[in-house]
Amino acid sequence: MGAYIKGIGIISPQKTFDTKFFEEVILPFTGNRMKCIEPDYSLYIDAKQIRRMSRIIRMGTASSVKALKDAGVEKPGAVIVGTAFGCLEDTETFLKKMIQNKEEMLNPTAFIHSTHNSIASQIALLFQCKGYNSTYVHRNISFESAMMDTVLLLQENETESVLAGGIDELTDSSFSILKLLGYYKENSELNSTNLYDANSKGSVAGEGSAFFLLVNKPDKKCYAEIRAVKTFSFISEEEVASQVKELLSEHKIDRADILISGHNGDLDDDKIFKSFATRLNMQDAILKYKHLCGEYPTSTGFALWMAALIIKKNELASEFGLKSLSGKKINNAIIYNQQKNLHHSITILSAC
Amino acid sequence: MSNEVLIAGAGIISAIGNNIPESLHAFERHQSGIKTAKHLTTRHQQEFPLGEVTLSNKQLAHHNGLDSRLSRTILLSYHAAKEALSSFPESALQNFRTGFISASTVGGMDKTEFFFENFLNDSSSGDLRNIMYHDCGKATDYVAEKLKIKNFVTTISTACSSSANAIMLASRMIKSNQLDIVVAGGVDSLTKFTLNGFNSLMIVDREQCKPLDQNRNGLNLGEGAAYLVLINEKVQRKINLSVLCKLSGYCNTNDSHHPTALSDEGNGPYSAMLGALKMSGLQPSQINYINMHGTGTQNNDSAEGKAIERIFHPEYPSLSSTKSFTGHTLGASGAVEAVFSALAIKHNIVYPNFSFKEPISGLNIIPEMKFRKQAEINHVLSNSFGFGGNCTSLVFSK
Amino acid sequence: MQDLKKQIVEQLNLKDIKPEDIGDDQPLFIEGLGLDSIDALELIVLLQQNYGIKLTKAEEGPKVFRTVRTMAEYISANKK
Repeated sequence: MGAYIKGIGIISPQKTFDTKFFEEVILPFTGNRMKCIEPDYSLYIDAKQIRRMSRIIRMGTASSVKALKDAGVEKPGAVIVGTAFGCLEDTETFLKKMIQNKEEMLNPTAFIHSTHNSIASQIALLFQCKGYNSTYVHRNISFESAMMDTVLLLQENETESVLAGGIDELTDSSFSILKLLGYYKENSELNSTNLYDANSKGSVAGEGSAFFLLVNKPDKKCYAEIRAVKTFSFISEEEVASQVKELLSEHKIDRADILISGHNGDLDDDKIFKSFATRLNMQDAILKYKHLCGEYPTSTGFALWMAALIIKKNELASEFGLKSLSGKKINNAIIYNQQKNLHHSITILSAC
Repeated sequence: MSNEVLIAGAGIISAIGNNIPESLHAFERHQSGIKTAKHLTTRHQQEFPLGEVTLSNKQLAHHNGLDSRLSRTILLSYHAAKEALSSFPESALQNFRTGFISASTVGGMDKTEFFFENFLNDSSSGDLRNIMYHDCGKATDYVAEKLKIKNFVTTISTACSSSANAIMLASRMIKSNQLDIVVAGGVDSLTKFTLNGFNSLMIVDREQCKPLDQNRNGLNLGEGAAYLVLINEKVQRKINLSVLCKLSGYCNTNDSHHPTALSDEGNGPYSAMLGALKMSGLQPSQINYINMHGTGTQNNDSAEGKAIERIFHPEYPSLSSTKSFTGHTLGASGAVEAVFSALAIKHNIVYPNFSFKEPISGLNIIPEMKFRKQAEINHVLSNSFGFGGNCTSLVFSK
Repeated sequence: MQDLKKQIVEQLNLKDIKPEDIGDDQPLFIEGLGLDSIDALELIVLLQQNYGIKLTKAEEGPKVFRTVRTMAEYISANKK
């Protein structure tokens, strides 16, 4: 019994919500901050509910509606979300008022929505999903933790379908603070074509909401099968590569067709990405993605969307510019991400 | 070979004690930890009694060999996790597949609040060392590294059921043969953010809270950290530790009624309790004690009471809310109460409500009034219900 | 009462509703405008913020906030 992606809904700095595949030219970015292209939420969420929802909850809700519609499923059996920072806007609103009003006359709505699990619970409320519900909040493995739980839940046969999502928003404050902490480059001349050549620290800031409806029985509609999701913490990239090779071997995959890698333009991080690809002998099959969505903890949600579509179509779109792989059938994909050599993650997908 | 998950270690720090012996002592002396806070600086200091851990950050740091400038969340978390692993040989963690699953609702907010005061006025000011603890995963990472746990690390945040869900995940990871030893639980420290947040919902009592009482007026906020060490039988055979009990059942459901309130009939709690009982293979009559979520709010106690009535009426087991002693420790509460439940089985004890006068009208739920030893405690049910309708029940057995 | 209606629309983010469309005696909760318990708490904040009135018991809410008129009457009687 496996885990199969049957529906996807994604909001990102690319036109991913309404397009089927990379039909439109991939939107280039300039500067050090990418912002999501958002749909008209009123088409997906009732007006009475929208009025209270902050941006991230709208993003998560709309993506979920899309994913379920895409899958042709009315109600998921469970909802599991990964988000490193949670509802920043609501948190800031409440904090600001608390400080300005000196702890008096505070609005409950912002507090209620500031809790990390309000995205998952809002979605459950909307679809009246009374099953398992959880939210993971662990940095750059928040989404992978959610996916591990999803795969486990489906294997345990507790439910036939799980709505799993990875979501993080960027606010003006979080952008300023993360920039001060060294996560993003200075603005200057940064753009999609030079991100990976910058030879400096930091990346481009991003955000996004990617939701997937996964089922435990495949059918023609499915995009891909999730063969494995694993996280590795506090061990070297060399050890990670070694364990990944074992994992591939266990799943009888000699060599994956493509490595979707979290290269992000940061000097130190990219050394690790490069080394990992070489150890797996996949340096000629790397597909980078953060120049499309930016760097944020749950960016692997975007990567999973890409991987699923590539496998479904079974080939690589020419827009990706990977000439060495053009025309090749893509049956297996690996997604690899890490940050500051602390937490690494791997997702292995195959054609159904 | 059966696939049982055993509890081989526990650690806790809360308003009633800095470790297990102190906590049990407090119950025995019927001493609540809810009083005027000393360490949290808030405008409401005299207005709301809180379940504050007695140690200051300096004392916590000194006791554990840590830097006192760390977030209180990290200090509390490490303190409790250390106690939980105190009987484990260090080699054990290296020789088996280990994991650390923690939980929290507001992470390092105790530091973020300070940061924001400066940052609001001037976006280039504010000590960055205060904001770097903000995300929930930071505390988990810090403690995992200090405990030398690798393999698997993650953090759950589902409001008040967070650490109960962490314990549940730990068991599932063991049963699916992905891990052998997991330290699971959670932490939350008192912050102005949460105190003011709950106050804006008008569910905070200005006096000692009265869970399960008809005249209850809300909750008392608390803080703390608690962890259980879950192992499989393979580890037990190799290391032969003193086991407290086993985790025989669990279930998580979603009430899906309202963002902050449970349905009147307590549907989410009802399903969670039934699911946990079903998994453990037990009949309601076999439960000897229920550690209720029992926050003291109008909504929770009625809904939870109603759900308990639906399952247990007319034969109710002993029950109580230990939040009347510790306060509501939010993200830590599931684990705090799991530790109490495991100890109840190990030592055959029953915990009391701190106070009680009148049952909730329409329900016949009367909590224990006295700490009892030499009770026959074979099975304990522990409830944790959070915002967003997140309901989790755990069953511990001998 | 017109001012009060404007404040209610603003406080509760009722984007689709025009203040003048709210009837003076229209029930605000359950039916009518369909507000819920969280909105009631927001209205308590409104009372304190705009009129200096502190409602300390949440149970008084349903009576005070039944309609715009009952709200206005309460404000006139208790305004600081």
